[in-house]
Amino acid sequence: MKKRINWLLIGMFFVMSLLVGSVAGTLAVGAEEAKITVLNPRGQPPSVPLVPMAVRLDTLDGKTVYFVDVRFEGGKSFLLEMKDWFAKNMPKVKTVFREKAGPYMDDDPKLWAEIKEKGDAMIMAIGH
Amino acid sequence: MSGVIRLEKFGKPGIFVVTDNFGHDAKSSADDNGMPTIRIVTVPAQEFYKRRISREEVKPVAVGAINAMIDALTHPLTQEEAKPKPKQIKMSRTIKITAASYELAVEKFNQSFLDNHWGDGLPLIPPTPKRVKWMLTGTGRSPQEVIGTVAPKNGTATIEKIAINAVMAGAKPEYLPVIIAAMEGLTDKKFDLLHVMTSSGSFNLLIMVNGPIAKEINMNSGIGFLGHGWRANNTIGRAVRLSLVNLGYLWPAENDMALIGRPSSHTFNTFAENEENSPWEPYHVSLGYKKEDSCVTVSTVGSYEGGMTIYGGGAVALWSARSILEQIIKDISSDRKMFALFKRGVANPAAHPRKHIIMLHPECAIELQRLGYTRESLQKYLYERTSVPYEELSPEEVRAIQERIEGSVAGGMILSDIIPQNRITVFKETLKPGGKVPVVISPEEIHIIVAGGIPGYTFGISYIKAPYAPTSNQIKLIRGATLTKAGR
Amino acid sequence: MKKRTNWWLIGVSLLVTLCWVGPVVAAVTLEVLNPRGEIKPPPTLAPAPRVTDLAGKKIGIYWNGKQGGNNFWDVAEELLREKFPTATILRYKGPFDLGGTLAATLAKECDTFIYGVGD
Repeated sequence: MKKRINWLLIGMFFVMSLLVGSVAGTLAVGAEEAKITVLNPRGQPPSVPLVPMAVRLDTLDGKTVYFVDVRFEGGKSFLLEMKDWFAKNMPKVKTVFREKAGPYMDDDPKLWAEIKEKGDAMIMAIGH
Repeated sequence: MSGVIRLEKFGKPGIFVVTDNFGHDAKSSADDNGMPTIRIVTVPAQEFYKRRISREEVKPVAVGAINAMIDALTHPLTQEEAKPKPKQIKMSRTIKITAASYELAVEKFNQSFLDNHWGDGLPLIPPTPKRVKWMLTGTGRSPQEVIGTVAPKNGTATIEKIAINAVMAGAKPEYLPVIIAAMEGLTDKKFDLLHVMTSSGSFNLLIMVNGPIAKEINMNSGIGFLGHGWRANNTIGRAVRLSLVNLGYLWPAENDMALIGRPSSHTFNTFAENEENSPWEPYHVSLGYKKEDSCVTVSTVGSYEGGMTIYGGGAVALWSARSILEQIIKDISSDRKMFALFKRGVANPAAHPRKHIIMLHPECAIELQRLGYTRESLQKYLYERTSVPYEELSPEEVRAIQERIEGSVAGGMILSDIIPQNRITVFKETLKPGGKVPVVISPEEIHIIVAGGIPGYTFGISYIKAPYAPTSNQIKLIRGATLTKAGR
Repeated sequence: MKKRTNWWLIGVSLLVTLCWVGPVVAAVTLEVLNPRGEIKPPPTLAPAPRVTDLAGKKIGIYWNGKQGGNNFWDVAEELLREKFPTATILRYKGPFDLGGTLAATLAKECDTFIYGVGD
């Protein structure tokens, strides 16, 4: 009797393992529908301090507007055409043309100082 | 290899001599052509290529190989050579990969596929039966429909096989009709797929979509149109690439001998023409299709060698439509050098006529249209402006052009050198006072396409005339689409 | 003794089963479709039987036009003439695949051939 029970127990373990094996196969299908968690690949950019813009003019009449060429190809022709347009269409606006010194991304402190002293507004062109 | 086999079939014993780094390719070609035990004698590539410039230089290479050549010509065939066994490729419909977790199974799948040369080096999406069935919802065509065979090993392309590769590429079902049309173009017997995919010239593919389907599936035709970031552009190209690898049995250094690879090798140059910003009819309409049709054009182009030439445009240097036209004319005119370089029987890529694809950025196209050009008149203008007056030709150039015409009539020349029969008379007529010899076979060999955004570049990509089949440009109608309004 | 043997047997069986079940429970099977194209192989042919000797034979050398190949074949021709003074060397040139017409000519005129140089 005891011998029979032992062999029965051994047999049950094997049957159980077969059942579990077939369930594991079914689990493979279920794995496709599982929820997945992934990590964020984006870098954290630094926060940019905001710089307030200057107050807008209520009119350009009687004001001095600087046209600043960053010396990018074609910009000078464009600004000089604009200057001519102002002369014809808004003669009360005084326009001054200047070329910025140095490459595009560099400051021109001498010119900034002149504009601060003598100008009321500025148009800088042409970027890309 | 096919030439060698022709002679062997006549009962004439012979050998094929090849450089050693192409030995595997030659063996593979012998297998593909049904004579796997053909005798191949190799010479060291490292010595041959640098020494072949003269008899004196190359003598040691010939001396080193002569005994092997004599032996291969005279030593009796072995039992195995005389009775070669047909090669059977056993193919199972599915492959099972087991691992401890799904992630590990996908990793194992990717490694296994790459080890077998079934991938492209980037991670693949597993083409499970469920996923492939999903992909096939994009077309109403039967999965068993045969599209054609894919060079070099001529594996059969069925709709299902293309769908499997499209899944691996990460494509969506609505892209499938576009991918199928591209494969129809590439497997067309008139299209020289063998050269673009296997030549040491490292050529590339242009895959261009026209018609309303492009917008429906969100293809990029603006800034960055040849780059990354658009699933349709990138996965359509990748699906074609994987289909060519798996249906053509292509692999670098085995039979894909692009010596330095290709730019965008994983996705080719896949984009949509910018029809919205073009002043002219779309490219496919200029070839006789209806505006509501959607089409794919596949075209062989240069990559690194004789690849792209920027003619002008952009956001930095000054340009005008006229200045760009002059640059195009200068580039195409340089093809004149092929006149004198042509020698019948000598394979010289520099002596082959070129096909030119001019990719105009929208601003330039609009300016050209304002100057009065249509697509067709622009082709004719460029063809005529680049033709060389007879009076300016040197005696050597005249001789070589005459030899090319005679060879084209007589036959026996590589296709790349041949003037097509319907153009022979045109060329003959130019070889007299008052005539102008064209450097391009016909105006239609200058393809005008509008692509890119604002700002953009106008550039050219060219390719020599194909050697193994009549054409390197094919356009196919997209059909069978079920998920888009276009392409049905 | 019999009782200890029985428990020992149960214990070993349990251990073996756990080792087998453990990985199977965790295993995932991914089934994918084969992306490779079926190839209909062309009929397999053997090359032609060899000539026994090159003496007195007509040897065709076919140059497929690849640059520099003519120099190589010029030297090869010289070497063959030295080794086999009674052989006749016939030179041909043409495209990569010589085509049916030239193949027929070469087959008619030669006993054996060398073709190349390929790359």
